[in-house]
Amino acid sequence: MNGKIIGITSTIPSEIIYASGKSLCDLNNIYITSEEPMNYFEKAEIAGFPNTYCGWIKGLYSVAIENKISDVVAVTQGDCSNTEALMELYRYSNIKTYPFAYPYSREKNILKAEMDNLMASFDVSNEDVQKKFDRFAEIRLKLHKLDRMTYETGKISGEENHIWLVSSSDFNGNPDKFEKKLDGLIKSKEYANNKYDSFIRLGYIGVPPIITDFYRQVEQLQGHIVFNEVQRQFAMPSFEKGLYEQYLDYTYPYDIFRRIEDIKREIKKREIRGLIHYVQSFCFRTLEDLIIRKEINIPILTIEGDKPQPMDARTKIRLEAFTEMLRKQ
Amino acid sequence: MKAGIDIGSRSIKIYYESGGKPIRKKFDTVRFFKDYLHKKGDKYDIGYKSLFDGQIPDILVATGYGKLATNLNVTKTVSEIIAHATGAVKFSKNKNMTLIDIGGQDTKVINIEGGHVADFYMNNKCAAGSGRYIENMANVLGVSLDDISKMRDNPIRIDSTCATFGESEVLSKLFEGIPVPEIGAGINLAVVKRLIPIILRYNNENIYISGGVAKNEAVVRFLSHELKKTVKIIDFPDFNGAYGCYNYE
Ligand code: SF4
Repeated sequence: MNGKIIGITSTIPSEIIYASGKSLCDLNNIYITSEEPMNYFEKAEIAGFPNTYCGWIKGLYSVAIENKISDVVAVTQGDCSNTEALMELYRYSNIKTYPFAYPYSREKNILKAEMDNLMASFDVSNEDVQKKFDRFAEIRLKLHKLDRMTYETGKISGEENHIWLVSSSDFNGNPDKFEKKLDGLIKSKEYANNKYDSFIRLGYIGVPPIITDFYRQVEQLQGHIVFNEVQRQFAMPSFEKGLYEQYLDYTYPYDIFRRIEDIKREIKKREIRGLIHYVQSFCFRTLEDLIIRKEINIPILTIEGDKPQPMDARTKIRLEAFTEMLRKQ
Repeated sequence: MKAGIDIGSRSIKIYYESGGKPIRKKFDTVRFFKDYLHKKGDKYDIGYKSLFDGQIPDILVATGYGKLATNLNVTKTVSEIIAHATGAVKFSKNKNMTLIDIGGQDTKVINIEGGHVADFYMNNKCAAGSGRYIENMANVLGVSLDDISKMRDNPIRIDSTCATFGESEVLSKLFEGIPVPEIGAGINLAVVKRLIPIILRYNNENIYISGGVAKNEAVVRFLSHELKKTVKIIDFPDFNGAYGCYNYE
């Protein structure tokens, strides 16, 4: 292990890395929050990525190379099968990689073996990891408070909800600082008015959007996103159950059926009128739309994104039609 | 006075009533913007008087692709889906239907239940299978839009309904010596085949069609045949969006 900062391609048990004294950085977050994410996208194409390839993977590739990340934990199962080839490209560029797999079967002993393996790679003990788990539980609790402030009282916007939950995959590289900022936000919003009382309550499901102004566009159409499905999962809704259990309850890396149960429950709880299912161009998860549409009986708009760019005119028209339809129903 | 305007990618349609009589006007989009728009502050005003026979509408409801692109001085804008659904419900007096609307670059399938839009499909980024595709292919075949819309016998199989790349497939059929009417029929059938799975999702008894392509007899016939149901045409199908705007409440 050379570097002090460990890159990740998706959410992993971050407690392990932090227990080793190293810092974490989710390559997705660096990509999408950079000033010009298109630069990363284009660099991957120049390197030879075909244009019929997932835009997230392109970014993950360039971000690691350009920022000279020396070590990456790559989620090879439970996130994206493209990561296997991506890992090979990393290795080819002399980046040290550590594969991490969420078992499709969701068996505790297999997941535990994977996590133990990662602990061994980073030379940390169970107790150290447990300590971090207890510490992060305090932050996760606050993230869930922020989530409730989104759907219960409308004090937090859909975009703020998205950013904070999605950032919990790496706590922006510094959990203490992250918590401080989060405290500040929650405090500043405690007495805020509910801006969204007359807005249509929407849910967002699927991988985080690559469309850079997605949340602003929805808000402009008077839609309030009160549920960010996968982002909420990144923040570990079952954190109170224990270290291994929280990663077993984490729905995203396993099959679609548990995700659907979770979505159904939250639709009810958060009084959601319509869902936006985001699919990434060329992503295998697009197929899951078939099951989702059959299983969930509130209106669903499926939108697709390819590059890290503002929303295109046609998607805007479809989104507008969708919110208008819900308003008239 | 009240009026509806549908600012489409190819043409602009206007509907209003004067002395109890419906008035429908259609303009080429580019010409319209040249002839009837003038800037007023940071908004655009339509040359109302010349458009509405000397009147100025108190309520002007707009829909269509162009309503977002320009800062028109209108009372309200509504999405195409709602405009078309409103038009079709008003026209047919039917509250449950699946409405197919094929316009210049849009294809929509709208499921209406109890007079409200329950769900809809709208093509994503590409104009495959739209009016533009048929128009471009008619050009390749060297026939008019009117001619191609009558071609419905012995359709050959056409796979690509891409408004641009469809050309090479049609050309290759010409080179093979296949008669033009059979290729034309194939083009019409290809447009229909693409839509069938989407229409079947809604499983509705009543099927209506609007939009410019509703004037294509072959498309309507193929649709009825494939769905095994009579597909009803909305009168003045290309004015359905403007008519919906006019009736929007
Ligand atoms: S969007 Fe889909 S294809 Fe792309 S990285 Fe994520 S899971 Fe993989």
